[in-house]
Formats: sequence, C-alpha cells, structure tokens
Amino acid sequence: MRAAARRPGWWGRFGVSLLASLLVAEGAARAVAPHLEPPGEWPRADYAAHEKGLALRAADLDLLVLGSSVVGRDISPARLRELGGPAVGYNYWLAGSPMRSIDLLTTDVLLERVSPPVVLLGLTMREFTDGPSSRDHLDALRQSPGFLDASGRMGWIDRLDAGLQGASALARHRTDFRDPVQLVHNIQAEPLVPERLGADGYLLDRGGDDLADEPAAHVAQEQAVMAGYEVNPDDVEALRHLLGELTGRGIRVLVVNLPVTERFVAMADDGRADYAAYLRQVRSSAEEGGAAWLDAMDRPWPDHLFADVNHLNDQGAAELQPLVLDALLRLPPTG
Amino acid sequence: MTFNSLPYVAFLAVVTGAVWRLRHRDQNRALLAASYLFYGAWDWRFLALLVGSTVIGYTAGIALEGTDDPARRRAIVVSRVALNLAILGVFKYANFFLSSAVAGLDAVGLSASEPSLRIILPIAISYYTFEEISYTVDIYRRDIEACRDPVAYGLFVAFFPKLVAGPILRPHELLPQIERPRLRPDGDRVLSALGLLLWGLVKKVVIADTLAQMANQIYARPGSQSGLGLALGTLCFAGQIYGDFSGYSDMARGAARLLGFELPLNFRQPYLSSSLTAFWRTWHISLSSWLRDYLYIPLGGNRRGLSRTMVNLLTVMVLGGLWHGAGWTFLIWGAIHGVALGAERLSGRAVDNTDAVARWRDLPRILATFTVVCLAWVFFRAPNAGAAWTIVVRIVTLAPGDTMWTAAVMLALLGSVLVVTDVVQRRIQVDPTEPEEARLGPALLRRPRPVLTGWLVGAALAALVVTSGGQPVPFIYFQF
Repeated sequence: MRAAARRPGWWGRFGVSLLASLLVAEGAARAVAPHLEPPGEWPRADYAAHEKGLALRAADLDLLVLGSSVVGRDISPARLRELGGPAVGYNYWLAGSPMRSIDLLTTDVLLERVSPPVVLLGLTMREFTDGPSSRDHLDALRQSPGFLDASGRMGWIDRLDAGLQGASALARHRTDFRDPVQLVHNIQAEPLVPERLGADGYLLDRGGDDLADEPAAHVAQEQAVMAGYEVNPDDVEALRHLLGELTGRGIRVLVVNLPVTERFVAMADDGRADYAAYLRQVRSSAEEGGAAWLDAMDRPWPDHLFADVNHLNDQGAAELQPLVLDALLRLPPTG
Repeated sequence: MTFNSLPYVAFLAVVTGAVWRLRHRDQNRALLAASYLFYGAWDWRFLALLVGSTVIGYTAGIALEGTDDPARRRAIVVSRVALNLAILGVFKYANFFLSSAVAGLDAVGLSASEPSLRIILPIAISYYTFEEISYTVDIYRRDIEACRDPVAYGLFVAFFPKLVAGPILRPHELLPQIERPRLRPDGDRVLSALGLLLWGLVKKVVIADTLAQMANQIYARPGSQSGLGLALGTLCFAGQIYGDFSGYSDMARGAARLLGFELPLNFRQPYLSSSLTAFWRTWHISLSSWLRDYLYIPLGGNRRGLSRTMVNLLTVMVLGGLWHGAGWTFLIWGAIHGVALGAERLSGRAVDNTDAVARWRDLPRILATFTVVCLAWVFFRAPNAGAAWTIVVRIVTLAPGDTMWTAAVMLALLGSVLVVTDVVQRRIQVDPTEPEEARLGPALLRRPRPVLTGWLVGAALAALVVTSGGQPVPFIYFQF
C-alpha cells in the first residue's frame, strides 16, 4: 500500500481513471436522456403549467378548484362562469395525487399566493389510498425543487442538489436510472404527449371520449392503485387539516364527491363496502370541517358519460357543471 | 444528522480539522463536546439522560475500586447494573409489557384498559447502557481499573462515531485509546479511512436503501404477493439489513480512524457462514460477544451439561432478540436462532468457517445457514407475528400471487456486489501472510492499483449520485 501510494504517477493515473469513469457514466446518461421524459422543477409538467396559469389569475381569483385529474377533467371554471358562476376561477388539479399531496401543496404554497373567497374540493375514493403510487406522488412532490422553492423550504443541500441536477444528466434522471426494469420500459415507451390544459386549468381531454376506447394501461394503472384498498387515515386527516386551514382563513368550501363508474368502485378489494366507508368518512369530515357537501353520485351516471373509468367525457362534464354551480350558489355567505 | 447526510459530512470534516490542531487532553474535551452536540442534534431532551448515566457510571466505577469489601462491591455493581437495566426497561420495554399484560388479561376474560404511556425511546440508549454495564462489571471482576478522568469516561460512553448504533465497545477497547495520546493519521490511514467511509456509504445508500424499497413494497401487502415474491422480498431485506448495518459500522470505523481511533470489526462476512455458530461470530460481533461474556458465560455457558447449555443458548438468544426491541417478533427471531444453535450443538455439526476462505464445497452448508437466517429475518421484518407466519406459509407453499420482478433484478445486481466483495474480503482477512493492519483494510485499498481504484471509486460516486437525493433514510439500527 505504502509503496504503491508513493510511486510517482499513482495519483495521476488514479485521477485520470476516476475522471474517465465519471465521464463514461455521464456520457451514458446523456445518450439515454433524450429517450426519457425531461424532468422539470415539478414532478410533472402539469404543475408547471398550473404555476403559469394561476399566476395570471392570482390577483382576482373568485374560485379555486382543487383535487386530482378527476376534478381536472370534471369541473371547468370557464363553463361555470358561462352558466353564471364565479367570474375568475382556476382548476389547480394534480394528476394522481393523494389527499396528502393536495393538502401539502395548498397549505404550503397556494394559500401563500392566493386568497380566493371560495374553494371547491373535488374528490373520489382514489385520493384516500396509501399504496406505493400515492406515497411516490407525495415523496416526489415534497422533494421537487419547485415545491421546495415555492414553499420556502429549499436549504443549502437542496440548492447544491439542484445545481448538480442542472449540470449532470446522471443526477437529473436519477429516478429513471434507479430502476433498470422501468428504465428499459421508459426508453421503449412512446414520448408522452403533454396534457392539454385550458386557460382555466381545465383538462381539455383524456385522449378519448368513450369508455370503450379507454387505454388498457390506464385500467391497469387504476387497478394497481386500488388494489388492497383501505381508507387511509392519513388522507382523511389531511382533508380535515386542509378544511381547517381554509375555513380558518374565512374561505367558503364546497366538497364534491365526483362521479366514477361502477367498474372503478369494483376495483377496490371490497368494492361498494370500501366506497361506503370512504363516503362516510369524507362526508363527516366535510361537515365537521364547516364545508358544504355535494354528493354528485346521488344520481346515476351511466357509462356513456365517461371517458374512462373515473373521468367524465365532455357530455358527462356538461351534465355535472349545473349541479356544481347550484351548490356553489347555495354556499352560505362568510360569517 | 445521520451518517448518510451532508450535514454529517460537514460536521465530521470540521471536527477532524479542529481536533488535530489541539493537544491530547483538549482533543478529548473537544471530542466530548462534539459528541454531545451530535447527540443533542437528535433530541436535546435526552442529553440529560446520557450525561446523568455517565456521571453515575463514573462515580460507581471509582466507588467500586475504592473498596475491597466483597459485600459492598457486590452491592455497588448490582445497584449500578440494576439502575442501567431499569432505565432501559422504562424507556424501551414499559409499553410492551403493559400492552402484553392487558392482552393477557383480555385473553382470560378480564377487561383492562391500557394506560396510554407515550414513552419515546432515546436514541443510542441500548448501546451506551451495555457499554456502561460492561465497564462496571469489568471493574468488579478486576479486569480493568476505574477511569479517573471524567472527560475520558464521558468520551468512552458518548464517542460519536459509535454512539448511536455501535459497535458496542468494551472499556479495554476504547479507554486506552482515549487516555493515551493518539498519532495523527498518515496519508495511508486517511486514505483507508476515506475508503471505509465511501464503501460504507455505498452499502447504505446504494445497496441497502434500494433493496429497502423492494422489501417495503413487498412486505406492505404480503397477502397479495406470491410465495416467490415474498421470498424475493425477504432476500431483499436480508441484503438491506446487512448493507445498512455493516455500512454504518464501516462508516463508524472510518470516522474513528480519521480521529486517530481504531474500532473493532462488527461484521466479518456473516452470510458466508457455514453454520449459525459461525454466523454469530461474524454478525454484529460486538453484541454477540457482549452477550457471550456478560450473559452466556455467567449463566454457566456450556460447562454445566448439555441440557443447561441448551437453556442458556435459548435464554441468551431470546434476550438478544429483545435487545433489538420490545416485541414478540424480535423475541421469536431470537428464539429461532436459539433453537437452531441448540440443534447445531446437539448434532455436533456446527462447522465454523469464520477463519477460512469461502470454498465451493462449503456452498450447501452456507446456503442452509443462510436459509435459516432468512427465515428468522421474516419475523424480524414483519409488522407482527401473525403477518410473519402468513409470509412463511405463503413462501413454503409457493402461494400464487403478484411477483415483483424488479426486486429480482435489483437483488441480482446489488446482491452480487455484496457477495463478491465479501468473498474477496474474507480471502484477504484469512491470509496469514498479510500484516494485521492490512487484513482490516478494504480490499480496494490494500493493493491499490491506480486505474482499478479510480474506476471503482468513480463507479461508487456515480452510483451515489443516482441513489441520493431527497431525505436521507435512517439506519435500521438507530431505532434499537
């Protein structure tokens, strides 16, 4: 060891080899990177789009809509305005989000920027599961530079990491490289088409308007999320926390149980029983939290109104808007 | 401030830089202050407990040495050990015994409401309590003299590289190093220390944390997993806990070496063991040797006949299980090892290959030992005994269900790194032609070929870049 370390040129050859190995790794990452979805400041592209969309309306926002992609597709602030609803609304939906993510982003970021008089919270049972996908969503949000920056939580370590990610494709795409199986899948996958958002944040389409045309991948994804379904107490607690934050600021809240297909409900292990448990807990949380409650599932929603198992198509959304508007107009004035 | 976080790297760099500018006695004072700062960063409230326990231990040691009266000596050692165990019992086991008692009353039809004690386990308490017990007992046995320097004794208890997850050090292993002036490490020792830190970090962040994701997902829903999937999850956990704990131990040794100390090995390639006897000589060595010296031998060891030996083995392993935590799963884990060790003793086939290189002909015994170890890991990892039993049954019956093939790929990739490095390290450690110091060093740094070393260090850094980011995952053994 001693002799080897002292040999002239040892450190030079060590350094060159070290540098070469790092360059090879970085080069390989850069070669693969064009085949992968470019990571942004936020976990998904729709967050960045929402950031821009909300900024344009922040000053005079009358209605903020929150929830997952289901509310993104089901409720259109622009359509509500046409029907006589709030003048300026924005739908800040977060694809695939559990209730914990919605609570975290709203309380730590959105409410620091906007103070709408009314918030509409559109929910389904999907937002109250604790599967790996929900946890990944929450972790990705918590750790994203966009969230850390917007919530004022970016410390020196995060800034260092953000700098590393800016300089290195290996660091930038680290989540892809951690899972070789998924990496191969991602390289072979078709490039993602960015979802089309309206100026009010509304999710303009889901790639099809007929339940029969629903991609098998979406069904499989939803089945994976709903496998082993149990109403997650942490998500219920997050709902209560969010309601407390909103009503504490004098914001009127409407909680809407959004329509889903029977097929979607059946994806939960105990189907209707799980749905009933979800409905009971969410409704009681809403009522105890001082929010108004609308159960859109009180009336039948035939399959021809859905684009897929849990998102309405244009016709379905058109039928939902008047129900929602009616509930919004019946909201009591602030105390 | 965990070892796998940037604040710790900065802390270690500052402490190392500062310590070597000081004289010996000031070095000890600075290290004690740094250790208390390190501990206080977890939770300042428990610093008083650590300091209080240190003061009592120091005083008891001097009192013990100051008397030759056997009755008084016995009274001091018994009261000191009893106090140690009482503190451990309150913080670590009170909730377990209360809830077990309530469950027991419920089972016989007597309704009892469980008192809601919210006792938080102070980090490191299991480690420093055992170290303090060994200090008092060793003085009682007249194996060592009492430490007269309160700073030195304080540092023996609180030395930060080993404080939160061991190794559990004996007084004779650390106190002389504290009391004598230490040599500033030369370039080679600094290099070997950095090598240990890097390799430990790779084992933790790259191997253990990656396998943990697989194991966690599989163990989260055991009912929907196939027998094969659960077996993969168990293998992932076996890799995770080894990478996590031995990675921590390597980093502890690396940090100590930078500060001029040498900590003993806590792991010696345990999964290459050809018997459970050999496994326990190579896994968490500091705990197993502590249990041997302060429990198994005082109980009579193997000197009082076969049946008493069996009872002693079972007692020690069950208590060793409970040391990890207050729960039936840990108790069963210890019992499995106790019964298996007893069976080995009865069969007379406990082959100890601790000091031999791994050979192909040993493979069947190694695999058999590893299977028993993994079976016991199911109980260690599962949330409760019922879930553990379900997992074992599903594995044994090859139950149908989901199989996470990503786990198989990651296991093949990362497990092979562990196996190859262990085989190489074992070969180096048992090579009698090597000097002692070289035997302890990692293979990479013993015969450092610059090109190979550069590529391996580069690969390790690239792997760390990929697997890092986000909140550091705590070490498993911090919770014990």
